Amino acid sequence: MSQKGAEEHLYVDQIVKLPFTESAGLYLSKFLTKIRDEGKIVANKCPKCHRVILPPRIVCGYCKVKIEDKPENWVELSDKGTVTDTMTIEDREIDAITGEMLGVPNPNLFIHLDGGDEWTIIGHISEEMDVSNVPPGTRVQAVWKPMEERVGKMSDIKYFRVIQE
Amino acid sequence: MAERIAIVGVGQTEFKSRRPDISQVELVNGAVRAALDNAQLTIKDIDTVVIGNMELFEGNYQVDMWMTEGSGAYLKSGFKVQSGGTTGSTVSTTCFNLAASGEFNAVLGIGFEKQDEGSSQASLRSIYEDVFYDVGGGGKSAGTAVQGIALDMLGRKSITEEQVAIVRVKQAENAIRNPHAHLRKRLTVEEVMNSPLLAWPVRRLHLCPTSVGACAIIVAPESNATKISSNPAWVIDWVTVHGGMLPFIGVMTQAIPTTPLGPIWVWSFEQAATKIYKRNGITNPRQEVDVFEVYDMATWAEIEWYERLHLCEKNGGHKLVEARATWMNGDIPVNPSGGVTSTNAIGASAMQRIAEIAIQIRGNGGDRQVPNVKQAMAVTAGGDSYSAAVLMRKSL
Repeated sequence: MSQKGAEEHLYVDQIVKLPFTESAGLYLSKFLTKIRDEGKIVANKCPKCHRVILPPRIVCGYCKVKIEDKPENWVELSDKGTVTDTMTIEDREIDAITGEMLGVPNPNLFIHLDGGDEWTIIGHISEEMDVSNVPPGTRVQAVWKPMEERVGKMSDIKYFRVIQE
Repeated sequence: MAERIAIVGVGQTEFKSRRPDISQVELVNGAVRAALDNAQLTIKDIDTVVIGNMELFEGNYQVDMWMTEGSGAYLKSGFKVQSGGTTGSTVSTTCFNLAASGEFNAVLGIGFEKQDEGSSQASLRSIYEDVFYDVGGGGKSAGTAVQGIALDMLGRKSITEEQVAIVRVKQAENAIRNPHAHLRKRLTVEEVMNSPLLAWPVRRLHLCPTSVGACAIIVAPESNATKISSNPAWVIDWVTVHGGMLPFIGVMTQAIPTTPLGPIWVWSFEQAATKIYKRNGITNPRQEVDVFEVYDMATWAEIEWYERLHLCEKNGGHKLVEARATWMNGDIPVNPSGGVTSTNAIGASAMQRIAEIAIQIRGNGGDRQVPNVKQAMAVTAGGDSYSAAVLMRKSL
């Protein structure tokens, strides 16, 4: 790219690709393995303030307390929940996971999963493209990929679907 | 016992969308030379250099090393610091700490961004540890983070959409008076209210632009500050507060207003400001502070900050707007520079808030000068929930 003129100012290409693989670590490995092998969403619980933390962390940042990897600190959540907020991204954005451009419109749901508390929020894709049909309070459930297609990523859940109870 | 300190030099480049005519090194050098000229010093008088910009926004890193030709850091001590949107204020408070240590006679701080060189969105979207978790992509773009604040403010009737547009028009008027501002075009309420919708109710003209520019400050301990300048801006107190990294609540910025502590950036902002008030006996900031500069990444945030600065009561933002209290000729001017919604070279933005109140204290504001400034504050905020607050006075 250049600007023509008495003096020409050039931009120099600097193509950076960042194909990193990060270790998920003990807590996130458990979380992702449960998703892949059992279709279950697990969180952990701060032993001091009893906050349910999703995705599970080694420390409660507020209490600065280590959450030991013990059965009593793990919480199994339902794959059903209640929508707290919705958002449709109107501009095209980069998918930080794949590096590809995300499609638009890109309807997102933010969901309190059953079995958690007010801190326990998952963000995911909405099956219903028009999120005005999924107002806060709507009940939704995860639609899982078939077992043989699951790889231990959040995309093992295809999207969340509105349910009638 | 820490040294008392002052800002004795401020330099800013011009701020634009694109600068194909200069490199990052040359951009930084422009701000450094301007700050040295302002302080009537040469680079030989500087003992250490601290620099900051956003990680990977220009596709590179370790700018403390490869920027030395422009920063003047060759054979001096110093380093890079970064804290996301508040990088510029973290560079500044680091400079304050270094100057107060008594180990250095003059400390140079630099914040810059050259956003015409790459995809800042790509960097923003990969900043957090838990990239894997945000499968829908809804969790961490700056515009949608602002949406959380905006919906919260509309919901509790602190402000109307039209009043937000009125504040945006105020910012544009202020920017026209600031030769370093990027967007210097007069706006109308209708133009703001009809600008493209990004994520309701946030519109394009509510958000800060992407700018190219650099800012630099020179900080000195009292013994040297009085030698360098007859008119230093005394830095009385400063604090940095970290609101807690977002992954604790699952990186879902959009969902922050629903947590028990309220929006997390908002929380750290208020903590920073009120710590300064408490430590310095400020009980009525609207009366006692003469001018504020705040990090208004969006117009919605500026009005949220009015409340969090305790310039009005909770949900009272609309009263300040109705009274035009935060306008240049109001009783508590906020962002006479035009703020971040007018100029946003991110690494520089939070430093400019501090530089601009130093300019106000020193009476060097030209057309944007607020009369008779004796006590002023800058408070910054960023998406990764750092906030800094800085108090300056005309006399010790």
